[in-house]
Amino acid sequence: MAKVVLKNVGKTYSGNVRAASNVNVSVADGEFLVLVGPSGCGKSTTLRMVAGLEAATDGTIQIGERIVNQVAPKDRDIAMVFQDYALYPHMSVRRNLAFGLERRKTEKIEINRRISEAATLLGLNDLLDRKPGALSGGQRQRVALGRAIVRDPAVFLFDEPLSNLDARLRVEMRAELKALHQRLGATILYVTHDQEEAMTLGDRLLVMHDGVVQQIGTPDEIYNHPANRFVAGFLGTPPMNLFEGGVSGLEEKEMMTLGLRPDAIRLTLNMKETGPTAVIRAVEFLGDCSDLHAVLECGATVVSRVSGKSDFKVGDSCVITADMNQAHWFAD
Amino acid sequence: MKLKISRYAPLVLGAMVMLFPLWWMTTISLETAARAGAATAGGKVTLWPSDPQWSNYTDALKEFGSTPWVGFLDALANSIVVTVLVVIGQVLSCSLVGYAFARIRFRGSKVLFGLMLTTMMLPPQVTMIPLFLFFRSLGWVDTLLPLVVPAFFGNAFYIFMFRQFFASVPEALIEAARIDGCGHFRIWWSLMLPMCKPVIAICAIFTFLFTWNDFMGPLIYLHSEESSTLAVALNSFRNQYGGLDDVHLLMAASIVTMIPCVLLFFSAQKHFVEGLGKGAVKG
Repeated sequence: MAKVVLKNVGKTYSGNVRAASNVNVSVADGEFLVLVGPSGCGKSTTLRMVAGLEAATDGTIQIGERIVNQVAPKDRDIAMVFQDYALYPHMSVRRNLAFGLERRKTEKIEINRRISEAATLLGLNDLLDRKPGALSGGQRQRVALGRAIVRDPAVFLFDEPLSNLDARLRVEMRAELKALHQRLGATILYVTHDQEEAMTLGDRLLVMHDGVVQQIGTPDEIYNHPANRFVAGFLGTPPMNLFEGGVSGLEEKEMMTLGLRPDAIRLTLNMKETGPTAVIRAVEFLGDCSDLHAVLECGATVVSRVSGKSDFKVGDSCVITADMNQAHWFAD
Repeated sequence: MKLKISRYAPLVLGAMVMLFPLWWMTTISLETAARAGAATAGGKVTLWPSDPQWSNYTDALKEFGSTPWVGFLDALANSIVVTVLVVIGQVLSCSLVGYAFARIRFRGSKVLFGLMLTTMMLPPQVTMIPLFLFFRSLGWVDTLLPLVVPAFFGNAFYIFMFRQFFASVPEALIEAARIDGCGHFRIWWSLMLPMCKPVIAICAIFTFLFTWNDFMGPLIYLHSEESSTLAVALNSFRNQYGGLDDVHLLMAASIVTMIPCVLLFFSAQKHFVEGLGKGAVKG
């Protein structure tokens, strides 16, 4: 296993399109770093630069003690798991697992040992002689994982590996991935646009937007102390309520954004309470909690999350109160 | 029921039209010399010869060339050698070039691809004389080389077909192979070729048919009897004035020559139909 260090890494495509700029991050040996952000934010490009599938136009990429900018993908000691699995369709599962090792002239006995080890770890023993076409999505993803594991690489790279699976399988695989990471103690760079996946898997998250790193931190830090409006709005379901406005009481009247998570906002039917009034527009019952969407007089929408089933009905008037201890303030 | 008749009647009629020459050949090939000659001169052709002359077939094969049997065996061997080599050459070269056009970005690739496609517009008759002069200057006339070697330099149509197929292979598969340690050549050989079996089948089948039946190429380049292929050797049934004395033997020899193509058609019928569809829709 090895650490990965990106220093001022950037990628500019022809036509001056900047996909990523100034990415600085140091991933410790054995760390699980999740690169998260909306589509087109540059997270996949960054991962592909680490893999060597794209050349970085700026900065240096270090894997272990080596600067690898000029090193071919096969010599970077990495393994990558792709979104659509990228299994060789004409080869059996066993051959898929063995192919990379054969290319590296690994001894046959060693190849067989690693395959049986990975197959046992991932429950692939009964599938070894099947072709990828005869496997389900989850099984294919396991084979893709196995192909990475048998390589015993310094760094694992995952490019949205779970996004082709259905919701239930995704949750299952997520838990398996987490367990696998603990078992292998591997350095992992993992790209996803799914914030839930990011929060549950990552030791640390790297949030990107428009090719720029917005914040790097543990899931707790990112969720409870978002660095800016983008991070605040991106992570959390439903997203944080953001209110923009001038703040009086400061020396210079400054535009600030107030952020409140839905569970920090409380709605009450008791119209005597003090606070802005709103009208309920939608009530979403989610089983263990309910999301209430209310429209303020000014037209802004507020989302509040309450536990259990809510008594509110669409069209009810209510008063909004907030727990200001949980308020986030953003100057940007 | 009515619908069935109206659907099958044109099919039966079409099949009869297509099968007529084959039936005619078979019937004539089994007639005696006199009756066959009379039939081709405008006489009556019976549905099936009253006294089938199966010995016509052995006689026909003996009569290829000047030495009995040797002429036929020589021509058969030449045809097999040329066809097999051309098929191999065509599949390897076209897929390799198709892969390069589909998957390697290099300066001028689009121009080169366009240039290659324009060669499809060139009628072969235009290049016939310059090519002959070229091969003569190499001293290759009356050898199999002018028929075989060009196949190793690709064919625009098949290159186009391979390119279209390779372009549809997901990029991630190639990237996975790169990470697994493959270069372009290895990706082509270990990944792309096994994956494009349907395209290979189409390329191989059509090349086989064209080469096996090719008359013009061997006629131009092969002069001696020992080097001729079956298609050209059939010509030896014509007499010195260009007429036909033994039309029944010619028909028997033609049927023998045709057998590999018919067998290939039946065994690879699925690919044929698929291939024509592919050519039409996807290229």
